[in-house]
Amino acid sequence: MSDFIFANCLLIDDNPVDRFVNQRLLAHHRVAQNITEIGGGKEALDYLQDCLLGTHPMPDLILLDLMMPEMDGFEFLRHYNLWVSKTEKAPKLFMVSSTEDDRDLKRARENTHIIRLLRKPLIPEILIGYLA
Amino acid sequence: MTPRNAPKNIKVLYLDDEKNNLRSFKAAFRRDYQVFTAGNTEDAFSIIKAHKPHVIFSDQRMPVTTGVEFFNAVRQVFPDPVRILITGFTDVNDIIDAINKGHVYRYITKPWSEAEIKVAIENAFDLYHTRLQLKEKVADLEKTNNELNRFVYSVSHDLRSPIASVLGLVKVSKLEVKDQVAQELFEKVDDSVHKLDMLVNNIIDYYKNSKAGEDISKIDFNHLVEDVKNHLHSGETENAFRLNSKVDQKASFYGDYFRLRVVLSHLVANAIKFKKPDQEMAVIELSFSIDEEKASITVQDHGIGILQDHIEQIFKMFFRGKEDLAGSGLGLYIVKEALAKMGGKIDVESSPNKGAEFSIELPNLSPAEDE
Repeated sequence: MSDFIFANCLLIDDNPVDRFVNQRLLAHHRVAQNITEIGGGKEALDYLQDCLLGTHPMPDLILLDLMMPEMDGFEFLRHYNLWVSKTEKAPKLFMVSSTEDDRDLKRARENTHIIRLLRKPLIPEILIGYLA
Repeated sequence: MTPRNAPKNIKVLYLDDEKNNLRSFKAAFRRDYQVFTAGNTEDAFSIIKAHKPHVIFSDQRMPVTTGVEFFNAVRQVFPDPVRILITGFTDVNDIIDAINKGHVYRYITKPWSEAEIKVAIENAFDLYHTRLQLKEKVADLEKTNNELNRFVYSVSHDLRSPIASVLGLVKVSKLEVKDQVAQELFEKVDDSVHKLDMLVNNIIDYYKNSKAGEDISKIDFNHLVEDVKNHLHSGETENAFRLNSKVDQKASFYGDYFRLRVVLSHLVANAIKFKKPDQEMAVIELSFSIDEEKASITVQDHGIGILQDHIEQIFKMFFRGKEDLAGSGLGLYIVKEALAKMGGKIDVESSPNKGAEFSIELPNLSPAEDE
């Protein structure tokens, strides 16, 4: 057994710097062994479809950015809803954002797929705290 | 805008039930002004609607309505024209009443002289003109002010994203580059960017507080404490702290969730920032006591406390206590402003080295009649 909390994690964020930062932080804190980075909501949905077909391993953890061009985090979650109904075990999903808008906080709390909305920069200790 | 010194462009309406008066008025002033006359209020209203006169004269004594009544009706629909009453001496009480209530600008007694009316028209037009300019200026200022606020807000909002990226990069650098000198430099970069982040956040909070309307909802205090913790800046959460909260709830509480969250975030951030240098971690006691009337909230720390000289000043904009620890000087100012919007109040008790205790009282805005 490895000492990682999860085997597979999916990072969905259009900003490569933030993806890099989160990938490093998760690796350093041994949150996930394999971390896959994806630059947008649409691509992420395609990737998740492939997971159902067995092309990729199922993610155990998803970090989802809120503000992304084309398809933002909340829109992604509307499609994700259908996908998740076809899975045996839903991944743990957190939204991460630099938003200061309280309406986003409220929407995130009301969305049943989101465990928490976490502020950027990510504080891995807080994330781990919510996993316990 | 109508140019001054162009008397022909001044539009005057005269309402009187006596045809002779109308005729002589028109004859006297038609060369100097654009004169309209009406023998009854219906005609007067259609003229006002069609021609938008600047100045309106009306006789007080008319068979159906009095001049004062007419002006009162005009005022509701067309507030801009300046209203002047023409009257005999016998109506003094009516006139005083009308002027006091703002229905008319002034009155002229019968029999009027041409010179008197002319002066009245010129003055009234001046007033009309000044009011119009003032209105335009106010609209202008409101627009600029709104644009400026929106600009500051959207800039601040957009700034947060790259700031968060830099903070993240510094964090990764600290973990991965172990060189001593590099570590010290990262620390300094971290401090500076955190200050920037805090300032940007304060600007956003300040804007949101001044702008947002009241949004009253039922408050779950455990959610609130969670959100307060989650909203602290990483610079603050990296310093170890413990937040103990105690909720004693005797009734449902309705209030402005966002503003309350802002108030508590700033007070908790403050408590963390001003811990004693030898303290291992900041310990903050948060207590809520809620009844049907109000919520009493205290935020207590065991930090360095506040100097007696400073207590009066900490809620002022841009006041900064300790230079080496100081933030933007906006935090407690925002607290005070947000509380003012909620109809709450705040008190502070403190002595140096004993910590500080902020006490807040907020009215419970429960919709009692709905239940």
